[in-house]
Amino acid sequence: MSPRRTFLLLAAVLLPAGFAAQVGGQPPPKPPVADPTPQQLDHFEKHVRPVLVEHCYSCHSAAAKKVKGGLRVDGRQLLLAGGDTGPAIVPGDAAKSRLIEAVRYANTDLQMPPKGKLPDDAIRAIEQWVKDGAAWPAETAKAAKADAFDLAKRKADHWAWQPPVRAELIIEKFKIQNLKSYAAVDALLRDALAKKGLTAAPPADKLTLLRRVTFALSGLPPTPAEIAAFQKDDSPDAYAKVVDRLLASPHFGERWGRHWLDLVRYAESRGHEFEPDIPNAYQYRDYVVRALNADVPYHRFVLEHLAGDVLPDPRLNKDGANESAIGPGFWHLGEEVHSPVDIRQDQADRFDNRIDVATKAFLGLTVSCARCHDHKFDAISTKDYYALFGLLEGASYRQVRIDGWKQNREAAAELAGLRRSLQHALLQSAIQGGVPDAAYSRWAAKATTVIDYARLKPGEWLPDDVTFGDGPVSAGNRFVRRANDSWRLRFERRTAAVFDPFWANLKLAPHTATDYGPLGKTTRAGFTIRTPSFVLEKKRLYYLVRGGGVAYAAVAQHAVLGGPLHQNIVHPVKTSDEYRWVSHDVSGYVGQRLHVELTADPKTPFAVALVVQADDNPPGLPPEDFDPKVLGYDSDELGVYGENLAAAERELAKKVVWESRLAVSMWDGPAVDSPVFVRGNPRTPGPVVPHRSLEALAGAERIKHDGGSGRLELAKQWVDPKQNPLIARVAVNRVWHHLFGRGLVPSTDNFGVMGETPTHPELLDFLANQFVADGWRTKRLIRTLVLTDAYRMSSTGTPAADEADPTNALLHKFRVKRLEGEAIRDAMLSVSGRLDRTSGGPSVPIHLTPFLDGRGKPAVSGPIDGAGRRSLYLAVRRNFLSPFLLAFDTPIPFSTVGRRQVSNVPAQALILMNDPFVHEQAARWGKELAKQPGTVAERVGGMYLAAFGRPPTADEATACGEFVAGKEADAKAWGELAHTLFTVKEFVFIR
Amino acid sequence: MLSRREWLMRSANGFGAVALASLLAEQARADGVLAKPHHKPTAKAVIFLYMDGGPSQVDTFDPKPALEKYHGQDPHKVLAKVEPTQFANVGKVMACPWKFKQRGKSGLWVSDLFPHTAECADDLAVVRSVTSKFSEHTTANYFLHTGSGIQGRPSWGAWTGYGLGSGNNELPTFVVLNGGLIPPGGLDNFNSGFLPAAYQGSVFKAGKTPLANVSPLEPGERQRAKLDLMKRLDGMTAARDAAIDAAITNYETAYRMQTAVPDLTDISKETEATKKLYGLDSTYPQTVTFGTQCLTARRLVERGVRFIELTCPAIGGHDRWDQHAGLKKGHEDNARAVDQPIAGLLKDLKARGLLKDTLVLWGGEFGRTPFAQGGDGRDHNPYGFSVWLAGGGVKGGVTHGETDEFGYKVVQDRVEMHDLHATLLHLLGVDHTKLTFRFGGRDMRLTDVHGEVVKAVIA
Repeated sequence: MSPRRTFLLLAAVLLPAGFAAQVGGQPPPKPPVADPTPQQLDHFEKHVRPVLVEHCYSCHSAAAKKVKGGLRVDGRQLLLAGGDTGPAIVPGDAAKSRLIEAVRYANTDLQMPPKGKLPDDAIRAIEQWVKDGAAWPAETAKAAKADAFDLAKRKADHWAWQPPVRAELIIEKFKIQNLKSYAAVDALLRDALAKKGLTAAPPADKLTLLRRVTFALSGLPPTPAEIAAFQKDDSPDAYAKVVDRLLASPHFGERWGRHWLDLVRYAESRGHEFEPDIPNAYQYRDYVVRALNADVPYHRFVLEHLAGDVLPDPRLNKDGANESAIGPGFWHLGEEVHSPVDIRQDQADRFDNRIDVATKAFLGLTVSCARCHDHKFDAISTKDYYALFGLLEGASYRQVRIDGWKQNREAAAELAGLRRSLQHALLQSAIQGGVPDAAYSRWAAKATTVIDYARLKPGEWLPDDVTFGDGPVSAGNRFVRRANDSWRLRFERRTAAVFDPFWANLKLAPHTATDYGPLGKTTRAGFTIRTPSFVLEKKRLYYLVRGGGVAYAAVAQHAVLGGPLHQNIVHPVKTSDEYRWVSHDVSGYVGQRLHVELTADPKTPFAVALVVQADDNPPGLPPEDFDPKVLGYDSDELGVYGENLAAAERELAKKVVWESRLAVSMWDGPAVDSPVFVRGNPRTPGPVVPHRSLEALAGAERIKHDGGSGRLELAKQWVDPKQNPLIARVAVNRVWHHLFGRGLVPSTDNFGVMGETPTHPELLDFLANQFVADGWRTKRLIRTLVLTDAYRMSSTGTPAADEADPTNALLHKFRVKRLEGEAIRDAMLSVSGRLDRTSGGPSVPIHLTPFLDGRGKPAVSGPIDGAGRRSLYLAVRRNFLSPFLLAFDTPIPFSTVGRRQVSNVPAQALILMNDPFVHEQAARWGKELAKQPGTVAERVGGMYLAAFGRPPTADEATACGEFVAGKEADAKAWGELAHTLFTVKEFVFIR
Repeated sequence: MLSRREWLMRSANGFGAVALASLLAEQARADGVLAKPHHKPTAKAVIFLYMDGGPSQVDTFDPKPALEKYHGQDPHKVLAKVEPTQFANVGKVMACPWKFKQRGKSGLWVSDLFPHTAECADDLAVVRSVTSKFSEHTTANYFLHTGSGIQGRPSWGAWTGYGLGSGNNELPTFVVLNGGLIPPGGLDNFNSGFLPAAYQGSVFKAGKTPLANVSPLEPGERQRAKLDLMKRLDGMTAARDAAIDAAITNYETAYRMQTAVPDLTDISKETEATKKLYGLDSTYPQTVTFGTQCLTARRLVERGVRFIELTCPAIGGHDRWDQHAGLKKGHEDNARAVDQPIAGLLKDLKARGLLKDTLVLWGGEFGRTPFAQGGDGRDHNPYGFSVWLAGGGVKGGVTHGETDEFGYKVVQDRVEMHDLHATLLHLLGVDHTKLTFRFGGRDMRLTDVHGEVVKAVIA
């Protein structure tokens, strides 16, 4: 331990105590009046009470319809008790009274009355009244209403918080004989119908079922070949074989991936004014598709979303790439603002969206409703909300290298061994901490350390990859460098985070994007190390560095840096190869929470020893920790060593995966406890809440963990069905919704009091338990459900059942569904022969019609047919969404949408009638048809199979035949017929 | 082949009346949710003249002699507090470069930027005390249009349609007449958010195809032949469903829209006098553009469209009303584009007896600072700015609310965006607290949990 640093540390600790003493030295405020004088009471009655009655009572008294801000001003005790932001008056001290602050109108966040400032004499009268002790005649004001929020009671009263009923109990209760899951599902459904004296619809015909299940599982229509094969297959498991084929198809993940993307408001741009990219967002989309195709267990999938960047056992693909690290990308898929005037408010809005999406998507809870006040209906408090806020504040945004994750970690371990070998191979060095001079000590006493790499606390070592080694390099450590044909020994003079030049050639894979604005000018991923987050108290940051790089002060985690504000939070740090202070002016951000990311320029050396915040420039450098004069070494031995080392590094380099894609992810840091923002306002911080999960799920204690933000532990709690009764229910209900057209809980994203109650509660619980017992396998669950009799029913019910169950809540027949915009578009591509079945990769730019206009307009307009790719692969740019898809209710990506709207509007008809894309596909199909051999009837038959999955009736064949009669070789006529079939309702509906 | 009526009968027979009603309730409809308005409306339609970028209140409708007095002085010294600004480039206090005059019988103050609009002063209710919560265009635009600074919420036009439905089956309930500028935040300023897509704003452009996909790509007789076959084939499908039937009727509506929309935007049959009134004979092309929009707006009102929004024409060299520099030239050019057309619209509506039940609303997403940005611009100011209303049951020739002596912040009768929204719905006969849509567990409103009707401007 060097004396210099000890000194700095002590100074930092001692300083606030001194300040405290000073504050305590001020004269105490006047005590409250015990017995007000008649004059004081007269002043109150004449000049104060009338003002309160006229201007405040409508919102802040017993007479208010709804008391605002929790504050009442119709009694002295009530004013003393105050509202959400604390006491309203401090008798005797006008300056400390919130009431006075509010009426003075100087603080834009606290201005009362809201409609306009009081006359000056009224303000003076109230000030005087407070100064004189706030006299109030003896009267009994009715006490404020007791807080109606009772979390325990709400939890006890609502079904969704209770654990699912155990499967055995359900089996016993419903006397389920056949224990095959799908048979049990049918038994439970039939039981509900039987209670109403209803019977289920008969089975659907074979081809209706094939079309239904093919769209459900792949989002595409069955091909004529698939139809023929199924028709021919008379075996009892013919249908099951189809289901297994569809589940094994790569199109399964594309179909269900799109469902998932609705939950995480997936987009590839930030929206707002200029639509900056979310760099490499499509990697997340492809990750989702791969995970679904691989049937990654759902609890694992959720774990990866919440904390895949910090899993001790990440899921690696066969090439050693880190799949798990891509999951947390979902946190960052929201809208972001490029130059917010109020940076803290902007962060609060961004985080609100993350909390909203995560809790709706995984828990089916509307936690975001508790941002400003305790939840109006559910067992969710404002403290819960800010507990999660703190958990998020403990981590930050990054682009992470995903390829070669395994190989490069192995190489890094070997490299660390090589580096250590030098320490043993040569003479021991001597470390001698210097003593700082008086001027430096005085400066240091006023500065605050952000990070000192010689004195790291647990959890502070935060590189974004392996390139800074496995910890700081200690002062006195040796390294060798070849210069002028000979090997030289160098010594680290300070304990520091040192970028290892071995990694200087790390590269980005093709189609890999970097960040927007100044951050994107440097390749940061792989070359960066961050500090813990801290609150800025001083005007400047000082970095003690050698070499070249860039510092990014991530104030309020603001990363979408486009002018005019906040450009200065990115700052070059460039010195020679000797340690120098680099000063970074961040004076506009005092009071904000931030962390610093330091990126090495791989073309130069880079090391950082110390980061401090201070108001003034340091008078010089702190003394070095190492005096090289005490050492000597054998230069021959060094030469041999150097050559060996170089050879070993060359060998090692062969194992490294130098090129990598990047993905949006999280970067974990030390935990943060956030204050409650009273009434959702970040400028009125309330009590600090320990970071944790929801109290109703895991209690009010700070989440227990061994470092990091606590996100991993949160994730583990959330995916543990013993601690979380919601996770499996919400998941199986989503699957049910997609297969049957409506969830057992119809409000898929809200299992709270305002959501809908389950139509079949035992069935929901049975499936949830089964899902967990089956290893959280989504494909297995889907297989179970599509093999039920219920899924295979006709969509035509008996008149009696239609009458008794008009909304089909009891599922007496299959629900007719309109296809999603994606499926309609994909179906057209499929039948026209244009479909390009390639999976993954960068998105196809949206085709820009004259109606797609505005700021941030993409530079390139994509092809009308989207290059034949599935709709999943069309670019999702917030301000330039596909008009085709929007018209068919593809959601605007702003929050979780588990249940899409299904609207029925003329714009849809206009698209199918007049959109160039539709015409193009029809013409293409027509061209194929004109070329085909065979009679008109045969060709029409083929068209019906392709478009509707069934042969035409005689009438239909006649009608279509008449349309092309005499024009059998005319591609145009066939194109017109093809177009007509696109507009026939059966094309867009599933029965 | 079955007629539409027969189809509907057939489906109704299968379900019974209850079944049909509840199924339709699950479908999104372009009808309004309100069977009738909450109270007697004074406005049937709204025309919002959207002054994208934020015109300056102290240069238009809120005269402040103090600016001349303190012109050139450091605002930090003369203002109580200077709030952070978008460009953080605070210059000196800057006087208004135009003269203000009292106009009409009412003596309403209007600056020389708007000589034509000034002629209609007695019809205007100027609210000088509007505030926004945001200093950035996009968030402020969303806030103005949707009552929330976040992307993805329904626009006020969508809320209006959701509540009241359309007065015309061939036209959308909410039409945006795009003058050339889509405001920052893009088309989501006009979207339906979590409301059904039926209520989203339809963006009309000038030209042969005013609305996307409204022009057939083939000769009419070919399209008719196809649609006839479609109808025939649809009729052959055995199984029916209410949703499918609704989709069928959409084709009939869409077919009629193909003529209704071009008819609407074809102004060739308007008289020369009318065209002149709107400035269509102007030598300034942007005046002609905006004049055409205003005239089309009137035609939309005549056809029963509920909510019409006009965006500004693009003017080379300026970024909308967003004069961070070159205030004088920028505001003059923008005013030149919109002034005569707006006056034409007001006069024309009045002459045709339409103004009394058409609410015309003029304003931007925020105002501008009374001090300069740099030398000769003004930065964004959400703390107090002016909008005006006319017609639709609003008082004429009045002002409401006050900013401080610099025109910087509201000091009297603050009107928040939510209040503006509440007032607009009120004039349309809708109680803003009762027009709700459940999303994500909350009964959402255009006015969130806020909003008070600004009764002072209501006649």
